[in-house]
Amino acid sequence: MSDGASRLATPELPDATTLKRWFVTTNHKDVGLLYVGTSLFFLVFGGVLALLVRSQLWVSRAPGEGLLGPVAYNQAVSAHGLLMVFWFLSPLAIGLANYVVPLQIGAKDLAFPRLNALSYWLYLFSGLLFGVSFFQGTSFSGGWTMYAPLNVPTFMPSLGATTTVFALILFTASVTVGGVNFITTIHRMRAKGLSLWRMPLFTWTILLTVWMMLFAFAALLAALLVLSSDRLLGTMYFAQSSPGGALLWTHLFWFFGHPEVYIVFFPALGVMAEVFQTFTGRRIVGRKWFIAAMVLVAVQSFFVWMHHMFLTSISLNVKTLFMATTIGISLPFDLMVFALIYTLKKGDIRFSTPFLFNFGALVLFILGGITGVFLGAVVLDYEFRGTYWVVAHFHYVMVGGVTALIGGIYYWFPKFTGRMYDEFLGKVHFAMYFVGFNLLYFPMFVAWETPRRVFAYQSSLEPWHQLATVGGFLLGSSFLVMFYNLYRSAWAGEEASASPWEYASTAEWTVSSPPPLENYDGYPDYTEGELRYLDEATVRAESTGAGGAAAAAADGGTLLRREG
Amino acid sequence: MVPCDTVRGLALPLHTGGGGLVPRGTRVQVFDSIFEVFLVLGTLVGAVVLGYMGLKAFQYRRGAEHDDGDVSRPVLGELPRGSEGGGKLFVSFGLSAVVVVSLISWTYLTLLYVEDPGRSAADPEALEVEVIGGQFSWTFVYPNGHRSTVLRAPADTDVHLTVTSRDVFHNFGVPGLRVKTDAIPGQTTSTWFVADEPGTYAAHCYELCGSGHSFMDTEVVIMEPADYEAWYANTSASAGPANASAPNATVSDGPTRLPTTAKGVGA
Amino acid sequence: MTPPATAVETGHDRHESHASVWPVIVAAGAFLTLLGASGIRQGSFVDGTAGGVYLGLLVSGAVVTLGALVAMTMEPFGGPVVEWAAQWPFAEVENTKLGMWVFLASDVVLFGAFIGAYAFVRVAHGWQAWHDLIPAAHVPLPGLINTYLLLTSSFSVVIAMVAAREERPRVLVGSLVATFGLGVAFLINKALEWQHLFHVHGAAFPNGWDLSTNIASSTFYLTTGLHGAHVAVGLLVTLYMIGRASRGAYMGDDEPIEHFGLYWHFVDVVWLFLFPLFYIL
Repeated sequence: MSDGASRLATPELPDATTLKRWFVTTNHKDVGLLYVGTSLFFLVFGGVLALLVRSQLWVSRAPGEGLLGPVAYNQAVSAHGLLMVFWFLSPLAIGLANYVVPLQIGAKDLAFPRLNALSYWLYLFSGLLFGVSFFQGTSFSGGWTMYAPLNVPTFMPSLGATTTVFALILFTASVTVGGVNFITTIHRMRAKGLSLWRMPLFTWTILLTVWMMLFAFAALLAALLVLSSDRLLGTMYFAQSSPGGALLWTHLFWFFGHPEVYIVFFPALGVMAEVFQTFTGRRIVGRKWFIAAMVLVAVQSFFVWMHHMFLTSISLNVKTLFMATTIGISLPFDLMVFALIYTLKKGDIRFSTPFLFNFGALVLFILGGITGVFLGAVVLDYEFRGTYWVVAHFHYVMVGGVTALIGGIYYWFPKFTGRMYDEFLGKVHFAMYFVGFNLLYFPMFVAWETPRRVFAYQSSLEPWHQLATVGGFLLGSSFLVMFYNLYRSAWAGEEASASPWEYASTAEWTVSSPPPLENYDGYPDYTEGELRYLDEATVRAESTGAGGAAAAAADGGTLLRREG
Repeated sequence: MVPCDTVRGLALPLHTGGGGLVPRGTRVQVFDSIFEVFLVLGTLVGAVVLGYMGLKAFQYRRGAEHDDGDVSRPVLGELPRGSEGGGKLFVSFGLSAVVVVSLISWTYLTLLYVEDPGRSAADPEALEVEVIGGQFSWTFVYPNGHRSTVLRAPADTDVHLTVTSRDVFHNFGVPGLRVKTDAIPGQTTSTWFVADEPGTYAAHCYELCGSGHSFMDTEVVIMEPADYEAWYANTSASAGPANASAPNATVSDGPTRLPTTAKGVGA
Repeated sequence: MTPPATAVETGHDRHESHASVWPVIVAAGAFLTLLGASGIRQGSFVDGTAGGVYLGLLVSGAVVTLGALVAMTMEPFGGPVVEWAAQWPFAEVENTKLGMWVFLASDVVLFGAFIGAYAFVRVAHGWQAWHDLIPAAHVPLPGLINTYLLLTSSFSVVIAMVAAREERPRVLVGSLVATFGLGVAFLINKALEWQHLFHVHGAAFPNGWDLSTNIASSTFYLTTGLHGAHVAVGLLVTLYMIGRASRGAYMGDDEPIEHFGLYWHFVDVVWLFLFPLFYIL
């Protein structure tokens, strides 16, 4: 290096038992664990807010009654939504992806490891920024959809509301950096022979997720930058007097917001596909159609946003168009659901914790899907708009997705730690979770006449809301079981082999648990139809065009044998 | 003065809900008949799908007696691929697509009825009321300029609402009459309802609009047409029982003009 | 912005790095910057001590972020080397270049949303009536000059890339300096134009034409301002590259210049859309 570039030394990676390691690491497995841990912290944060909201809803309240005042209630509702959607759901999925995707595709790391670390730290600090907003007067209190013009200083003068918007901008920066990284990695660093069609389904869902993220979050960033400028500099895009300002926000927000639903749900779908295949001992039915359906959804997700705006002043023609695209986007999900169900047939099904959670997730997703068809009928949507029907529906879908991701944590836990979680406590967690979930969200369908985001409602609906509150606390406490189980098992669990699950087939199970720093000893290769590791000499010979694959197997390629 | 029989005559086509294949009638009848069909079909489909899923999961659990002699199981390190069984997949998918598409198309016909732009032209007797949302109350403006914070309307009559907001995004909804629409500053939306029976219905705001959102409620009083006429004859633009301002609203200006923003506008 | 391009290689025995302290510092700096900026309202900091604290946070955060970004760029860091991989359809594009393409794709959506927002509010207001919101002093000439400046700077970046490939250090530094100069001229021209518009006088706009005058001024300043911010970021990168090039870097290694060139051409192309939208139509 002739210029100044080498004046700074590259630090060595400290040992995993030191604190310093976790501040400087750029390794995808470390970053993945950081992501998963941090996202669980925000789950608790958002969950406590949800329990506050549920407590407030125990009975219909007059202003000033209950734990929360009106503004505090609005803050709790808004922060719960924002934290869960942005700071918990996607980061949990990205954490799993960080750990698993390079292993599944045969890469040593993500393409840009430092940017990967940067994307994690931007995520963490964006969440901290959100936390700080509560100490600047009030945080944002206009709902997670942040409709204009309530979001401008005229109506929400608190500095904390600005900080919340900034937190989202910082989060968007994290997502963009992460998206560029994953897209480059998955497109350029797959093991030879692993064509796009052949990629494991979890990797497929992540690829589609990050592509959607890249574009959807850019639209959100535009909305947030404009909003920041309105709040900081006094531009007038969303001001009350702006022509179409309120509608402009809904367009920008939902152009992001609808793909966001799939951004949140796709990784869960990928976990379901992997876990179903492993625990039924069956390869997925209609694999290519499953992938094609997902690609279709990913593209079409950018053309359905106005179905969130059926009651605004958009014309009947536009409503018709978006009703059609909405129905169109629901159909591929039918295919995916049936593919998963038919995969059960002729299976050798073991109801271990990961499968229980993913089986449960499919049940919840089916219920969420059916109640979603109600919303697709515009005449019904007119009446469901702004009610608990919508709340119940999207919680069944989104928290249904969470269910699968929790199953994913259990599934990959032995890979992460080299130890097994406690199966009994895992099942206890699932039982509490599943009962709590349905007790929490199903009564919301029954009490659907309740308007969203209010704490004064028809008193005849109180029993249903009380059931939901009980369910909420049960669901929340089920996570205490999980935290205890995982924490204890990480240090004292039974040691896990490289591949503790029978019928697991993807590449992450071929390396030790936990995997070595650079994942593989040799060069992963699928050109012979199954995974083997080539040594350096073979790769050199092949890259320079000498010799064929057969020669490779003969001189040093080690075919992988299935473990007993 | 509207003769009673004229009202009945006009209302008649609105009340033929039960007969045709496409639900018509009041908003309540339309909603109820469609919701019922969706609820029955949804429950049925849910039960079949979840039942099948549970059954297969139970049948093929490890240790159960089932023949899987020729089933090939995934092997560690194999190139990911799928199982056979695509035919059945497509039959189920096709079936679900037919159910969903036909259901939605059916409700679309009702949507055309609900959205019929010729409705107000066809009914010169319809009552037109302007609704203005504001933090945190509703103002109703009648054709003669009378303003009120409670909506009064005659039974068995088409009531057309033109809805807007003087500050933030609200949503005006009367669940008992199944009518709802957004109240957007700078925009107007329109909707309609017909009430069968006199009575008092609750109206709410359905879009988070600030600290008073939980209590941005009012009443819709449906009166006998004759009573309504008598009441309406005694109202005038200046003698409204209340003007636009609720206790905590500071803006009170004309119904159609939007106030300039409170923010520092240079010009 | 500039991803790690310098793998520490010595023949086959390459060493891959797994640690860097800079990402956490960049993020912490960004946190402080934004926290500081949250104290701004209507273009100035809130009153009192709080305003001073916010200003301090903003300045220190910006210093930390920029410093850490520069340090991160200068830190030798070996990313994973790809040599045995399935890469369809991007086999011919190396990682950093693909990364830049993907980033620019998201930037296309960002500007697309800004342009869409402009079109939406303009239609809502009335496409032709829009002209009443704009003072006569808002003429196309400054925008036209800027168009030429940017087009020329795009050309000079190409020269820089060729110079790096052909290992001609003086031409490289010269053309980078030219790029920088043209970019600075663009920003100065814009600043003069804005100053003029801020202080126009006349019956229609007695208090000048600034960000809060009306919706047309808001869209104009914010959209071209976002573009200007892209130019400014590009100039910072140019400055960094001039520093390195003057000490002999990039000879025979034109990839970093090419990646920057992609960004710079993109910023140029965006201007070609903004100019007619905000100056002519």
